[in-house]
Amino acid sequence: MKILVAVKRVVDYNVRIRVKADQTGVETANVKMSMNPFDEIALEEAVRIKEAGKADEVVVVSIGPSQAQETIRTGLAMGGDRGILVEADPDLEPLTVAKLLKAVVEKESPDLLILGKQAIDDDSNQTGQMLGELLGWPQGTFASKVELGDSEVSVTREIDGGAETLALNMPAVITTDLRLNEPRYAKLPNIMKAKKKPLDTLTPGDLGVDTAHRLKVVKVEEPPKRKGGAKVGSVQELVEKLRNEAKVI
Amino acid sequence: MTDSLLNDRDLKFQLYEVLDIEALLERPRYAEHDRAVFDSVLDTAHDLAKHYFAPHNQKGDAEEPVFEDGRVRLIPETKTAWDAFADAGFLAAHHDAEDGGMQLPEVVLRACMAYFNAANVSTTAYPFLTIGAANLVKSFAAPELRERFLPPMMDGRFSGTMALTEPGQGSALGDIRTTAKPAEDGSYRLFGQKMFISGGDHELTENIVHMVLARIEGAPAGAKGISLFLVPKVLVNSDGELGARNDVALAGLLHKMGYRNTTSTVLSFGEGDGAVGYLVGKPHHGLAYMFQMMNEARIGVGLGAATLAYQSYVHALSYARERPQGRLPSSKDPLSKQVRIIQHADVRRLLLMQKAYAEGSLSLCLYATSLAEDARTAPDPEQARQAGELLDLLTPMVKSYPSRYGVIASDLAIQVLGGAGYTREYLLEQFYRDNRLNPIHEGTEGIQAIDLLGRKLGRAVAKATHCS
Ligand SMILES: Cc1cc2nc3c(=O)[nH]c(=O)nc-3n(C[C@H](O)[C@H](O)[C@H](O)COP(=O)(O)OP(=O)(O)OC[C@H]3O[C@@H](n4cnc5c(N)ncnc54)[C@H](O)[C@@H]3O)c2cc1C
Repeated sequence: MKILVAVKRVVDYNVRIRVKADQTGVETANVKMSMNPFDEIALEEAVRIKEAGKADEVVVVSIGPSQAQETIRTGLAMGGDRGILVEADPDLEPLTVAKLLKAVVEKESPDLLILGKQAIDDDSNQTGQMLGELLGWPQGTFASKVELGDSEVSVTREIDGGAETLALNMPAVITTDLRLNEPRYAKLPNIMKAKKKPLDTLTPGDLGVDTAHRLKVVKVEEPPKRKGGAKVGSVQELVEKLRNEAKVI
Repeated sequence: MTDSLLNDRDLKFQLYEVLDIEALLERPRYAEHDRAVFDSVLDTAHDLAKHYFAPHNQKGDAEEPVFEDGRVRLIPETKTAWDAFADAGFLAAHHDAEDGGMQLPEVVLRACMAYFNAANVSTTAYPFLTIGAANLVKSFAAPELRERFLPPMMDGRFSGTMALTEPGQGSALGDIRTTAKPAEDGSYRLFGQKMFISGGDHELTENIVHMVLARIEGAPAGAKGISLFLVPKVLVNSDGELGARNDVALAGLLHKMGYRNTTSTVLSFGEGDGAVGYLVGKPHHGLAYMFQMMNEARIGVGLGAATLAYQSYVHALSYARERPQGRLPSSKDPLSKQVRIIQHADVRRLLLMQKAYAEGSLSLCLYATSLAEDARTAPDPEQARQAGELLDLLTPMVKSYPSRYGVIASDLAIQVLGGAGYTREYLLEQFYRDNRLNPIHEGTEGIQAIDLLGRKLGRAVAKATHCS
């Protein structure tokens, strides 16, 4: 049994995001980058499954610039067995990422694919779903509990108004939500060991995927500052304000 | 208010650009490392400090350790923090690979400790002291003793202390009175009282290894008659199993201005038949051995003071950027928007003074650590010798400057917050109280001055005259 985990290098969650002066994107120069927190959860889940004796190998894949090797190394220090970097532009679109991952999956034939539900940089929340669709595999998104059976995996997922549990035939795609687990820290000796674990580099060309952008970014700007709230005296006043000031009804 | 610890960029600037620690990678000892490893280790330290140390910093201050039925009770977060620190491998990191360490350069370890100190200096004291005590065991204990005590001090099952001070003797260590009587089995029985022993009792670990200075019966007077002993709280059989409780009792706790989550203990050795102690190294050389730990601890105290100063500054800076108050002298319109206080010249002055003290101190301490590194691992023996001598000369200043000016920085940081700085709703008053310790322990400022002027400079001058 082999598990493939996809991890993305993103601006660290502690960093206050700034828009570039030319409004083409978010400032990443001299900014701390780290593994997308949802992907840490994905990796943690894979490593726990392996530690429970239910998987033999955990492969950590990242698509991004050469510095994403560091993100993969972090993953290997957390317990991944080997890494694959698909060296590409950091701002690929979800569909392209899904196609690249599909190509990696075809080379690697994993039984289970775990991804974060979204990356905290663009919050797209699309890659896992697109990938499941492209592969024709069942998908369990927003997982808060994963239980592995023999040929099935049961995924409890968070939905509006509660939780539902799905049984998926394997191979399957799972995307993780925050409550699934608490990821571990890389122990120092494992940081050293990670250096010796294999890490292969591929290019989109090797995988036969065209990475041209299909969407055009017009402009990136900060969301408008929130204005202070106000208390209203009555329902009537509220309705009146919604109609005449906010103009939403 | 900020939740950040230090500033990654500044710390890395010090390490990679000022000290060029990547040059260490050429030394055989560090051949297995690379910059990515250093970065990961630093990131891990930052994350652990933030998640396991910082959140209970105020709680540990408000709910100081309690002495009940002969035992100490600490807030439980302390144990979780200790376990996380040990489990990540920080207690073992700088040790030799053959001892189970990862040969992390000392300067990287100390930079990691800066994050922990910034997060929670009093909880960090437990691992800080343990690392120092383990270094003493590693350097001077006989092989059998080392094998029995070093591994559990590296994996976090045992912690360590340094027990020098007595109720009657603090600065004047040559006058200590704790005595050691030789026993038939080659060990010793210790009798006496030690005071102010940090981490001297707690239940974070199954055992505590006290590194104790005492006088063997009949030893010469003064500093030349002091020996170093390893005295465990619980006896350890030769197979490593824990045995009976040793004759070391907690007589009481001291109640401090700051650093409250570190237990400050009065310990009684030998209320009964005597505390079993094992001589470390040769008789009557104890003070010299202890100086190894003290010199390391002195750099550590400087660094602790520098990081508290830095952390005060980080908080003050973040507050000053957000707090609107008043208008600039040039503004005549009473209805114009208030400016952030960072725009006021006097607030900038306060901030820049802090920055100068804090960054200067941090830089000095990391530089001292890199000298210690060179003294140990520089490939050129002449370079190693020079680094050692320079470090020796600088140590009193590395300890004293950050200790004195760090408190001033913490004081100025309170000033930046105004009334808020004086309240316990903010951390600044605690940083100030915590930092006030540093000019006192590990040799007071006065004692450092005597060391510098009376000993070190004299020696350096004599040498320079001799050479010319
Ligand atoms: C929170 C805390 C933690 C501590 N942790 C430890 C520990 O873990 N282990 C340990 O062994 N000790 C520890 N100590 C003890 C500490 O090292 C001593 O308090 C310190 O060395 C000073 O000794 P003292 O308190 O007896 O002061 P004293 O020695 O009585 O000094 C009082 C004053 O006299 C001055 N003075 C003394 N002698 C001279 C002289 N010859 N010339 C000029 N001035 C002089 C001093 O500078 C000081 O200003 C700790 C102390 C504190 C407060």
